[in-house]
Amino acid sequence: MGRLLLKIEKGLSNRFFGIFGDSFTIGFFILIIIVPILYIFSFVITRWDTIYFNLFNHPILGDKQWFDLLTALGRSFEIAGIVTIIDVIIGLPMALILARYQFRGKKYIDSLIDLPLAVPTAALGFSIYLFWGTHYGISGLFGLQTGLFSEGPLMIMLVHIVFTYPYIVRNLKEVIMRVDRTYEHAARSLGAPGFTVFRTITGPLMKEGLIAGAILAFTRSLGETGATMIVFGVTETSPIQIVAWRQLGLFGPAAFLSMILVLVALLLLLLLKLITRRVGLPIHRVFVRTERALSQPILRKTRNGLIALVFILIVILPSLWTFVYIGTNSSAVYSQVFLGADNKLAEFWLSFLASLSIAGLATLVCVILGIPMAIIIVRRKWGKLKAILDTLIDIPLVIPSAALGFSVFVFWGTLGPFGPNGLFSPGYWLIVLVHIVFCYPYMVRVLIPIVSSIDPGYEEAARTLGAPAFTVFRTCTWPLLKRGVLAGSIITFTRSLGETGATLVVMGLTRTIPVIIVDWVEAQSLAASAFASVIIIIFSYVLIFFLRKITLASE
Amino acid sequence: MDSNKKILVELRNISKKFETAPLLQNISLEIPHNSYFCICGPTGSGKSTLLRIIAGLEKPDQGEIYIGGKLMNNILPEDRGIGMLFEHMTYALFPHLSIYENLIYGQRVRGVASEESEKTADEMLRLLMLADRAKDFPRVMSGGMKQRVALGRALMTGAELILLDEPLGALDAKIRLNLRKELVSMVKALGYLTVIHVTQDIEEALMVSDYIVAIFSGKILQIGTPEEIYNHPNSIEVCSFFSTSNFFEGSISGIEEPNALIDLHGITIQIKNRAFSKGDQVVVAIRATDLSIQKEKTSDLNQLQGKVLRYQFNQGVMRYEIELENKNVIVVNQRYDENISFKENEKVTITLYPTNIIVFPHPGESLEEKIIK
Amino acid sequence: MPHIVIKDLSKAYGKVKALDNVNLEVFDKEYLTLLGPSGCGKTTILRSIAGLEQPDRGEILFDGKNITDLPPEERDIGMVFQHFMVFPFLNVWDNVTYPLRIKGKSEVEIEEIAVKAMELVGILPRINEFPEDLSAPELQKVGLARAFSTGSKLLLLDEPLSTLDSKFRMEFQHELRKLVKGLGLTAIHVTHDQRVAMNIADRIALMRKGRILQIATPMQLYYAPNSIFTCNFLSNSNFLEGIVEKKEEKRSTVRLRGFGPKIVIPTDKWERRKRLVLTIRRNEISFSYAKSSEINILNAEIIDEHFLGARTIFQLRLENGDRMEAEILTKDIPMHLGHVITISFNIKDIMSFEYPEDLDYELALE
Repeated sequence: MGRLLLKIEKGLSNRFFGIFGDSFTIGFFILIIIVPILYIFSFVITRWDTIYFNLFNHPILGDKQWFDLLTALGRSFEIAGIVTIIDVIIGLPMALILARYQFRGKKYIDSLIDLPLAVPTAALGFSIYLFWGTHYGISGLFGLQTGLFSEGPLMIMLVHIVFTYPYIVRNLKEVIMRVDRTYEHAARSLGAPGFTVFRTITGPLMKEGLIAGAILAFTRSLGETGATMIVFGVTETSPIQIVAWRQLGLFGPAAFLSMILVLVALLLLLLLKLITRRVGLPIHRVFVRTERALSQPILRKTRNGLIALVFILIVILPSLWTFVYIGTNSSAVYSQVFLGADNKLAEFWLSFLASLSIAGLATLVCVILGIPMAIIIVRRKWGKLKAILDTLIDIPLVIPSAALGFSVFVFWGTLGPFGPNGLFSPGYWLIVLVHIVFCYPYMVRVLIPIVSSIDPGYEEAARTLGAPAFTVFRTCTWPLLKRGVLAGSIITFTRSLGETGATLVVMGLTRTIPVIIVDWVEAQSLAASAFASVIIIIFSYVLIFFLRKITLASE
Repeated sequence: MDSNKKILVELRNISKKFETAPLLQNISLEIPHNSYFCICGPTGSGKSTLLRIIAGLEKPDQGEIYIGGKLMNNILPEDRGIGMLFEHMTYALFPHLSIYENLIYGQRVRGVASEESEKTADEMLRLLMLADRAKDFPRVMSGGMKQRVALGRALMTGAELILLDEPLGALDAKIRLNLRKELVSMVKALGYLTVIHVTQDIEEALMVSDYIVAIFSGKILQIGTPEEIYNHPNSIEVCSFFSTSNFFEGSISGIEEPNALIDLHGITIQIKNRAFSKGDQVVVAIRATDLSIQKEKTSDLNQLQGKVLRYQFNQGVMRYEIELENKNVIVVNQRYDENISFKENEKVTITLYPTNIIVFPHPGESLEEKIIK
Repeated sequence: MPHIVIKDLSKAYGKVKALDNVNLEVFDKEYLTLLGPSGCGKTTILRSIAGLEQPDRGEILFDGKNITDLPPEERDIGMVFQHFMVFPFLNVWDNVTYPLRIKGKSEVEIEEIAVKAMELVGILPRINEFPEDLSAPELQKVGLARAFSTGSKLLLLDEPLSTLDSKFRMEFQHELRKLVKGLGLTAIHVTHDQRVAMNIADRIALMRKGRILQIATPMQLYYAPNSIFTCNFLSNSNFLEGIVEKKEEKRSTVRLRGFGPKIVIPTDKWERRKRLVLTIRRNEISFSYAKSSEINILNAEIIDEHFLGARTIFQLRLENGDRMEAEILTKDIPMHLGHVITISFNIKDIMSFEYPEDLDYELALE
């Protein structure tokens, strides 16, 4: 076998296959991911008359839909803005603590911060809803009959904070760690108190990362659907509006809103890449007395304590409240899930299997086509073209998933360019396709630093030892890549498990776990929702646990 | 050391442990004003830790530090009146600030920036020969320029004590030499500075210092001028670290006051007696430059036989490693002569010139560890 | 029998010329070192020979065959790297046998060749260990054994010693040359450390800014450099400016600038009135002398003295204001050294060069 394999690999290693491979990888990316997203523009433009009519001159509704659209947009932006600011305020100190201090239990805090990232938003949203919005939650401890907050914008914000918090903290932590501490030492040796060091040295050196983190948090909030669906009451955010219109068959306004969201996301992405050079921070004036006072150790300790408190109260406790609920209401759970007439258990299993298989397939495709893409971006010397490719990859990351789902729905379906029957109708395979679209960037983003960290010297050594390109990949690059691919797969898999927004748009009869969680909440079967949530939370957390083990083992 | 000089830095009984391992053991040291002190020792000797304690970046487990007569143990680094130069790569020059802004940073953050400090900054730029580059950023400057700016920035705080931690690191030998020279001449030109410079480069220490503090395994073994450290080392560690020396074991074969005779592999050497008695075991250190190689034995005195293990040419000097009959390896440095060269495995004769030898009492079993190189 | 010829090799990165029309011939079984400061192009040449870089123009011939367009795996080379590049996920045995398994050799052959290679470098006892448990010299030995396993007769070395502690360097350097010569290999070794080059090479190619300045044996390079840069790169030298005053057979007299002292140099190739740069190494200056027609004697004022242990460096000023440095063995310093002294140096130790357009550029170290 050995000799045959080597011969095949040698054959595959010639330049022609190399070019073919590169073209196929990029082609796949463009066709499956970029084109559908851009198609929404052409869709809106070609159907402009109908859309215009529906939005502004509808015989029955007048311009209500336009009004609804604007309201939805406004709300989404408002919420995203406030959430981002709060995130930065409570996230920056946490990032500082994680980046600079060593203490017992730090590992656990790290994992806890990742919790919202790992778990499907619907499940987490449900837990948070239980905590703040029902008498099963915190208000129950005070003997109240209703929840502390009712559904609506405030709840939405509380929910969004939980989801965006890990983004900011992770991002800022990396950025802070990248600032060489020697600069801080130097500043201190020149007489700068702690606060001044941060403002004049660490801050400016990390401002790019800060802005990047803020933009990511903003877009995350903009696109959040799953949890929002549980707590929105009547406050419809943009993704919810899209889902609603899609379900009503009002494709025009849905397309228009999607297009706007896509545009906004693209603009934000551009902003991200450009603005970071320009923004300055006030580093020239120094308020010595105030900053000295602010640098006192006591203040620092108070700050740390406060941050920890906020973290537990706003992020952790609500997220894990479902477990408490199940513990205290186990009989309700049992009766609703196992004894109910509508056979919720079977429904649950079907969706669970659907979720798993969809996630599995999407992950597999992303691995196979993500690795070559990561290699292209890191290793090929294509100059400007690479930068463009790099930016394109991020597009699905910033676009609200409902908008993305709608674009995909339109492109491959009856309204797309593939004729009156389209290529894919809503259902299982369309869901898989959509999941591939937004999981792909995750995979590639995880793989890029891993491929970068592989010293090209190893591959060069292998080549000088006689290995043709393919053999180099199999015997040298892959062993070094394995761990990273596994990590990326877990991240992609959990992302797919948790996806709600786009799934709602493209699903036919297939339902995934997040969908049934939302459904059951709407049907007031809270116990059943809790059951589903808890199962999926445990499952996701176990996966993340393995992820941590793998990444830590490789360090 | 001149006892009339005013002392700027005083360390009393400084000790520090890392977990259970002792990093510094009972260090006491006085550094006078206006002197250039090098703390020199092998890796792991504790020299960097000592510097960081003086800077205030680390706290000693025991002992006191005085700077300018004041107790500094609990004073923060920024309040000690010290300037520190960091590792050579970037000198920790703030990359997002211009040279001028870097220089004036210290004044700004202490809240004492004023018209006068701006003038001082301009003057400093002129002194550093960088007046036309005030608006440039560190990344466009050469290593030498960055070093100047880093020094200038530390000086702008009014610091009279400058601490350097292996500032020239792993640079190309020649570039390092030039930077070293620049540093020394700048310090000389300024005239009021006291410098404490940590290094493990012996030539650097010998070249720049007024005094060298030889530190090994957390203990100070000797303090002296470069000449004293090199010519009159007080221990085998100091001798082996600061010079290329060969160590021979021998014994006192006879005392003829004021001289003593040493028997070294059958050769007899005469030295001035220093409290030795007949039969004492000793270790004799002979510099690589105090030996010479020739082909044939020409005398019965002061000559040994061996064979060439390997040799290395370095800028006109040949370094030979010779294996003696008793399997010891000795190093001989002599001027390259194209007419006289020896090949591997060639049998040669080595002549000792005992005028500059140094004799130590034999330390017993720990001889191996004491020979640092 | 690898005989490498490089013809008109050029490579540019944007505006920077990494290689500028380089021509080089490496003979069979020769140990050639490419020496020069960083950025001189030595690594680019090595990587071009390996096939890891593509030159913009030029050819590389291996035993007469043009290999310029061949990928690395089809060139018959063995390569050793600065950071060893020993595969971290394979143990020593798997690393060393890697090239043999790639070629599809039989188990018997693999064992024979690999064991021999490992024995040669002395890494056989560590056969089952993984790279993370090996020291730097051991890792480099694995790299060598692996390169030897390829069976190639051409060994390319990219700064193989710079990551090693200086303690190990001299011994390893020695062993390396013995191994290469013992196996009858042709070796091309890149380094920036002149001490290594001077002691390991049959010939050295000294490079600067993409060009080869001189190719010669170490002794020739040191004692007969063809440029001021080479002289300055390999030794600590003094450079004095002067004009040819008189010519005799095989000798000339040069008057240092500013109507300074006269120096006799051992050549008659320059015309009268020619402006020259004379060089004398600082360790070739002596404070004591026996009068003879083979030496130059000058008066000098001692400005500064730097004790360096076995040697002392003196800063001197000549009558015309020129500065010089002398490196004297501390034990040879005369007991009573005055402020103004007499220094001497052999006529045959002086080298002369045409005064260049930009002396500072010549004396720069990059």
